[in-house]
Amino acid sequence: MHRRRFLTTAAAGIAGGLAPAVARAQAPIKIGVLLPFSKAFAVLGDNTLAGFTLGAREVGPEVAGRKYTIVKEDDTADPSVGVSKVRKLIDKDEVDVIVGTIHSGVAAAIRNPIVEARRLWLNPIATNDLLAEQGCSRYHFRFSASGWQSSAPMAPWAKRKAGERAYLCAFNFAFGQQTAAHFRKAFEAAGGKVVGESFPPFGTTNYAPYFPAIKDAQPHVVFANFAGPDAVAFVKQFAEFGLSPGVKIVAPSNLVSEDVLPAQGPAAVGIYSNSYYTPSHDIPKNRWFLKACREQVGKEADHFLCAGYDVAQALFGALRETKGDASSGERLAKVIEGMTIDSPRGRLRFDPKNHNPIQDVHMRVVQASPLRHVVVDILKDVAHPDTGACKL
Amino acid sequence: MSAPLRWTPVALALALAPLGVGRVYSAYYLNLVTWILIFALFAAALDLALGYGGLVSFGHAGFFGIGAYAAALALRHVAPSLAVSLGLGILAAAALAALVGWFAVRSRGVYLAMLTFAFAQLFYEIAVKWVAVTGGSDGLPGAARPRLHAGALVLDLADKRHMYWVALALVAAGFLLARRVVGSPFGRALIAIRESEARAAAIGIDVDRHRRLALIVSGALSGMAGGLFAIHQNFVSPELLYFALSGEVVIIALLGGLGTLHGALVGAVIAVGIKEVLSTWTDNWLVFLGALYVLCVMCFPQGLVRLAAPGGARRAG
Amino acid sequence: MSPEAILTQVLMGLTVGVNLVLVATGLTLVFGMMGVINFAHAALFMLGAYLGLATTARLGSFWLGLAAAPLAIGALGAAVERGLLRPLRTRFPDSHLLPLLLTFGLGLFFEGMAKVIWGADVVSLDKPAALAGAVTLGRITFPTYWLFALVAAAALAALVWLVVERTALGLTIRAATQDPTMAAVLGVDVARLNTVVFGLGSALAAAAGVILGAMTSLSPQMGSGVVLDAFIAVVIGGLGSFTGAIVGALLLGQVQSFGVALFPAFHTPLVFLVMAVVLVLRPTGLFGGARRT
Repeated sequence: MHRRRFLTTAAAGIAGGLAPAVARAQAPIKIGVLLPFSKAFAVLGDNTLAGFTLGAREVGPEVAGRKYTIVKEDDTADPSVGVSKVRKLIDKDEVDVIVGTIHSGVAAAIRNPIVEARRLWLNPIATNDLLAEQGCSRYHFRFSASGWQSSAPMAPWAKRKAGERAYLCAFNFAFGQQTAAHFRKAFEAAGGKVVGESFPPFGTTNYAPYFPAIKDAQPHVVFANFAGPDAVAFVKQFAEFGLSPGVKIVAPSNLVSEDVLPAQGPAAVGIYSNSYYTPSHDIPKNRWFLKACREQVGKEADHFLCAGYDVAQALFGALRETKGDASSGERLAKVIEGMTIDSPRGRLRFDPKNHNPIQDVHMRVVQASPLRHVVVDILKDVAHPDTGACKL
Repeated sequence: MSAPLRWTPVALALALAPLGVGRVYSAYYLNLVTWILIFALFAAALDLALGYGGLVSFGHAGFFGIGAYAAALALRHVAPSLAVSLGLGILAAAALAALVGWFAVRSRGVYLAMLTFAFAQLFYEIAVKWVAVTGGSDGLPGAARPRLHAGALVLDLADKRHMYWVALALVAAGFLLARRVVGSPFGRALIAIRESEARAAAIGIDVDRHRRLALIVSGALSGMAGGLFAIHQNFVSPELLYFALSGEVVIIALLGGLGTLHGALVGAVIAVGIKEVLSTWTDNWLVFLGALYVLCVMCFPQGLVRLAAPGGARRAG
Repeated sequence: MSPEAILTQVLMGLTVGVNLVLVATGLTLVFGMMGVINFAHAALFMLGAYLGLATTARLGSFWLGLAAAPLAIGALGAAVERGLLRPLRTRFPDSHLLPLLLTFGLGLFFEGMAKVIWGADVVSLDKPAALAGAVTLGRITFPTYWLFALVAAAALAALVWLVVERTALGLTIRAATQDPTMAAVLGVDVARLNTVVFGLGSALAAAAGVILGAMTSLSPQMGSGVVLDAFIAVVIGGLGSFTGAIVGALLLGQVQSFGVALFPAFHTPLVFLVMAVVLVLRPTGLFGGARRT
C-alpha cells in the first residue's frame, strides 16, 4: 500500500511539475501597467502608456513565440490606491512583470510588495532618489532620471553660463526639496553662492508674494522646480512681474516639459532645463521616433513617451533573450542589467550598482519659434552617485 | 430578529473569507476587504462623534493619520510589536483629540468643522515638512511586520490571512466598543445633547465635558484604524492626514447612515470597494462615482442601512 | 523690513486677497446666506473657466467669454438648485450634511466630465491683447491684467454688496436668510429666492474662473486650491456677513504674503493657524452671528 501511494504521489508530483511548464508555454505573458490615468497626472500616464504601446506594436502580438497581454490599472497618484492595485496585479491578475509608475510616493509604497513577490519592476518615470539608494532592488530599473541626475549636474554648468549667485524656488514636496538641496550642494561646490530659497506649497496659483524676495536677492540664476499647473503659473507670472531681465532660470525638465510648454507660451522662452530626452535632438533613432509617435499613437513625442518606449524595448528584448520565459524576475533583471538600449534619447544603459540609468543629460533652452527646446550642451554619461546606501 | 442574529451570516462570511483564498478567489480580495473593514471602523468612529454627538468634523483624517504615523514609527524605532504600535497610535490620536476638543469645545456647526480641519491640516504640514522623521511627502516605507504569540498560536502579520483575521478581530472589537459607548448613559447623554443642547444642559448634563470625551473616544478609535492601516499597508504617507480623506470618511458615514454605526460598513463598501472596481473598469471613474453619490443622497438620504428599517428615527444629520 | 519692502509685500498680498474676493463673493452668497456648504463651487469655477475658453476660442473675444460663462454657469447652478438641492432641503430642512454630500458628488461629476469633454491637459486662456503688458510702480513691475483683476474684484464686490445691502431683493435675501419661516409667512417665495441666490453664486464662481484662469492655467482640478482658501476666508469673516467675507479674503491675502516674507520656513500652515486662532477667540468669525445656524 505504501508503494502504491508513493507511485501515485510521485506520478502526480511529476505531472504536477510538468503541468505548469506546459501551461506556461501556452498561457500568455502578463504585463501589469500601473500608472495614473485620472486626476492631475492623467496626461503623463497616458503618454507613458502610449510610448509603451508603440514599443509593443513594434514587437507584434507575440514575443519569442508567446502571446502577451497588458493589464492596465490606475493608481490615481495615491500611494494607498497604488498598493491596492499592485496587490491586484500580482495576486489576482498574476502578472509576470510590473511597469510603473510616475508619482514618487506611489513608487515608494509599491516597492516592498513588488520586491517581496520577486517580480521584475520597470519604472518609467518616478524619480525618487530612494530607489537608487537605500530603497534599491535588483528587480527595479529606472528609465528616467533620479532627482539628483535632474538637478546636480546642471549646477556647475549654470554657474559657468549665468553667474555665481543662485536663488532656489521649488514646490514643497520631496521632489522639489530634494532637487533644490542637490543643486545647492553642487552649486556651492562649484564655487557659487546660494542667496536665498523658498518653497511654495504644491498647488499655489499666485506666486506674487514670493517675487520681492527673489528680486531683492539679485540672483544670476534661479533654480525653479514646479510641475503641471504650478509650473505654468510660475513661469507666466515670473515673466509678467518683470523678474526675467538679467536672470536665467535653470530647471529640471518638468518646469517646461511638453505638457505645459504650450500653455506657457512666450513666457517660457529663454528658460534652461535638463532632460534625458529632447524632441528636437537630431539623431536617427529620434527622427524615427518623432514620426512613429505621430503616426502610430497620435501623440507628439516627449520624455514620457520615450521612457515608455524604452521600457518596452528593454522588456521585450529581455523576453527574447529568455526565449519567452517570464517566470523568473531575477533572470530577466540580469539580462536587462547587461543591456545597452538604442533609445530615442541616445544610448541608455543601467548602472549595475543601483539599476539607475547612465545616459547623456541634455542642457536645453526654450526657443521662441517654433516654441520648443533646443539642445545647447550635452553632459555625457551622467550616473547617480554611489553613496554606498544601495546594496544590490 | 435581534441585531446580533441578523449580523451572524455576515460575520460568518467575513470570518471564513481567508479560507477561500487561492481556491475560489485571489488574495487581492482579502486585501480589499481588509481595507474596507479598516475604513468602516474609521467611519464608525466618526459616526460616534457626528451621528450620535452631532460634532461636525472635517479633520478626522488628523486622528487616523496620526495613529498611522505613530504606529509606523513605533514599529521602526520602538518595538516590532502589534500591541505597542497600535497602543501608541491610539494614544497619539486620543491626545490630539483631547487637544482639539479643548480648543474647539465651544464651536458649533461649520465653525467646528473648519477648526477640526485646521488642526488636521497643521499635522499634514508637519508630516510633509519634518522629513527626517516622517519621510516627507514621499512617505515612510514600513518596517518589518510584527509577529504575535498567543500560547502555541503564532500569527505572522506578513501573512495576508493572519493580517486579515487580526484586522477583523480588532475592527469588530472597535465596533463593539462603539456600540457599548453609544448604549451607555454617556451615549444617551450625547444623543440628548445632539437633539437639544439647551434641554440637556437644563437637566444637568455637562455639555462641554461630554463633547470633549466623545471626541476623544472617536479620535482614539480613528487612531486605531489608522494604526491598523499602517501595519496592513506597510507604508504611511501624508495623504493619510489630508482633508480629502476627512471628506471621504464623512461621505462614507453619510452614505451608510449617520447614527447607526453599522452603516459605516455599508458606506465603506461603496466608497472604497466600488471605487476600486470602477477605477479598474474605466479611466473616467470620477464621473460615475460622483453620479453614484448624487443618486445615493437623492434616493437614500437617510443612508443605505435605514432602507431595512424605515420606521427608524427620521434624521440625517 | 524697509517701508518700501512692506509696501511691496502689501501689494502682493493684495493680489492674493483680490483673487480670494473674486471667489468669496459667490461663495458667501450660497454658503453664508443659504447655509449650504457647496462643495461644487470649485467645479463651477472650473467650468466657468473652460466655458470662457471655449467662447473666446470660437468668437475671438475674451470679453464675450467673460460675459457668456457666468450666464451659462448661472443657469446650470439654478437648474441644480431647482432639480436637486431644493427637493433635498425641503425634505430635510435642518440638514447641513446632505447638501454637502450632494454638492460633493456633483463636484466629482463635473470634474470628471470636464476631463471627458476637454481632456486632462493643462491649457491656457489668453488675456485680451488690450490688457497685456505691465505698469511700473516705482521698483515694482505690475502686470496690467492683474490691475484689471483688482478692479474687477472691487467692482464685483461692490455690486454684490449694493444688491445685498441696498436693494429690495437684497433685503428679501437677508430676511429669508435670518428667518425663512417668517419671510415665507410674509409672502416671500423662499424656494424661488434660493434658486436665484444659488444661480447668482454659481455665476460669480464662473466669472472668477474666467478672470483667474487667464492669470494661471486651466485644468479639471484648477478650482480646489483657491476655493478652499476662499472657504477659510468666508469662515474667518463670519458666515452670513458679506463684509466679513471681503475682510476675511483681504486679511488672508496679507497673512499669506507676510507669512512668505517673515516666516518662510512655516508659512504654509500659517493660514490654518490664523483661522484656528480667530475661531477660538471669536467662535462665529469676525463679523459672524447674523445667521441663525
